[in-house]
Amino acid sequence: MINNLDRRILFIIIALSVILPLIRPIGLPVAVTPITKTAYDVVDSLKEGERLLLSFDFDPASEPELFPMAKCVIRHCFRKNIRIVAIALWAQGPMECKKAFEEVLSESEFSNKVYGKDYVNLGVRPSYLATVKGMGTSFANTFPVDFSEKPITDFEIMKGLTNYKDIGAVFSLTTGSVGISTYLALIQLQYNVKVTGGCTAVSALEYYPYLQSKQLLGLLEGMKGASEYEKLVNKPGKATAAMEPQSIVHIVLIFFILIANLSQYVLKGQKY
Amino acid sequence: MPLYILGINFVSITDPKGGYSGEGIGIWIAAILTIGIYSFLYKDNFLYKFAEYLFVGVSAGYFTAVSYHQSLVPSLIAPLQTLSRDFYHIITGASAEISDPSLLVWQKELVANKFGTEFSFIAFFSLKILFLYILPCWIGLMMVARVVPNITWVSKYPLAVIVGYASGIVIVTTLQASILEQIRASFISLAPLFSAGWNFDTLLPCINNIIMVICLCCAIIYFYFSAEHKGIILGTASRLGIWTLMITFGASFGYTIMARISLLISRFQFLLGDWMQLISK
Repeated sequence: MINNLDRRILFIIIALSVILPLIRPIGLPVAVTPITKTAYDVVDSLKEGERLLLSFDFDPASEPELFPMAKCVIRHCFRKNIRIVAIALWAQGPMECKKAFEEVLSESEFSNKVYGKDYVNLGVRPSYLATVKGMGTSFANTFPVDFSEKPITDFEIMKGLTNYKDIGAVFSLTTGSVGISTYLALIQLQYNVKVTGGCTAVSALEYYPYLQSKQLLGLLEGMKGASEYEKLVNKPGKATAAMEPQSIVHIVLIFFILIANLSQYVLKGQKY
Repeated sequence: MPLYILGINFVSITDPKGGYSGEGIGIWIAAILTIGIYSFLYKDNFLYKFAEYLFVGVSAGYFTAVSYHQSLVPSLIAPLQTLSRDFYHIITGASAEISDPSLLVWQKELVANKFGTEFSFIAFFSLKILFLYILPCWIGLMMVARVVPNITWVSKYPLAVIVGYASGIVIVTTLQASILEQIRASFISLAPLFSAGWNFDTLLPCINNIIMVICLCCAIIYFYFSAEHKGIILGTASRLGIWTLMITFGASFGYTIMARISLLISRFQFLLGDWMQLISK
């Protein structure tokens, strides 16, 4: 019977495993892992007025995992009066950036933050290699205008910002191969910049060697990392709400895998 | 009415003033398209295909618009407009402000009416435009030749430039960041165990490091194909190497499930929150 089970029944069970905990949460705790705490500490260690290069290296397809992280990092920086220079290595990144700032600024706590003084959205430039290397020479040459095509010389935050030596840390929100690994390969050693970030869960594993070698200082792994950062900045949001269905779906999937393996074992025994 | 009993209150497409709400309409379109995409789980259908093609078309259109405004305008169109304005002011001897500082000296000399300056300026200006803007633009346009079957070969030249340029930037730094630093990180010391004593805090990281080095060596041995993987050393090591790789693949699979489920949860958060207003946004 299990062998001939209609896969659509499994889809319904998975859907219910997501819907029910979303409607009736049971309050599972979120534990903060050391690598998330390290990433948090990198931002936290920046002094008031220092600049964080926040790189939006993702598109709407990765929004569920990386967008909550972006909002948490922005909140964290705003609370500590750390200035944010936001760029993107993906074409859709600047719109994600704009949306993240708009949502955080709509909170009364941050209504006093000013564009061009406390944060800036520089947009995206062609060739991520040229962009990342270019910022090592001159931000002004790499980004002559911001995302709204205003000259960056108009902005207070850009005064005194020449290259990476004027940046406290780089925080890349990465999907795919362009992002954290680009900063690690091109600038981390050359300019001795602190690099940290968050990534989609699917690519988290590839950054572990860099964590072990301490080239990458902390990492937010997918929605779990986002929920942990939400806990650290004391602002539970969509990622925290998503962790209950996430846990329950994982339990259901483990159950499915066990049942499937057991059934195969029994069926094989019958056949031979 | 039964939907209200369940607590479902679909977002309205009208605003309180009686007009249409852009946000409400957007949420309804997104909800219908989301359901369209998930309808594929039942079976392939028209709504799924429509949503899929629409996604591809919108993505391509958005990318084109962003490329134009963020790449072509600041890197080519705006500088050419500024330079041509500067050229006009200089060649007509106007004392108007020049935006490109490298052209200031020509303006001064032309205003001073020095002999032969006009010819030299035109030559300098033409070369500058040619090498900094026209030639890169032409190389970029050569990529478009890929869509014309008879001249597809033309697109190989800009590709060669891109490959050469990217390799030049990446090879040395990647070698250092991804190979040398990784090798350095695998040279671990057991000194803390002997200097700080055999306590729990030093013993665990040391055991962890030893496991890491053994697994690393075994995984590398698994990819050593110049000798058969038999015997106590190569046979055992390559078997342990396979186990190491399997554990890595298992972890990778676990992360992939987490990522995909995250996308599903996010869509349900949207449908139940923004659209049905059943849960808080």
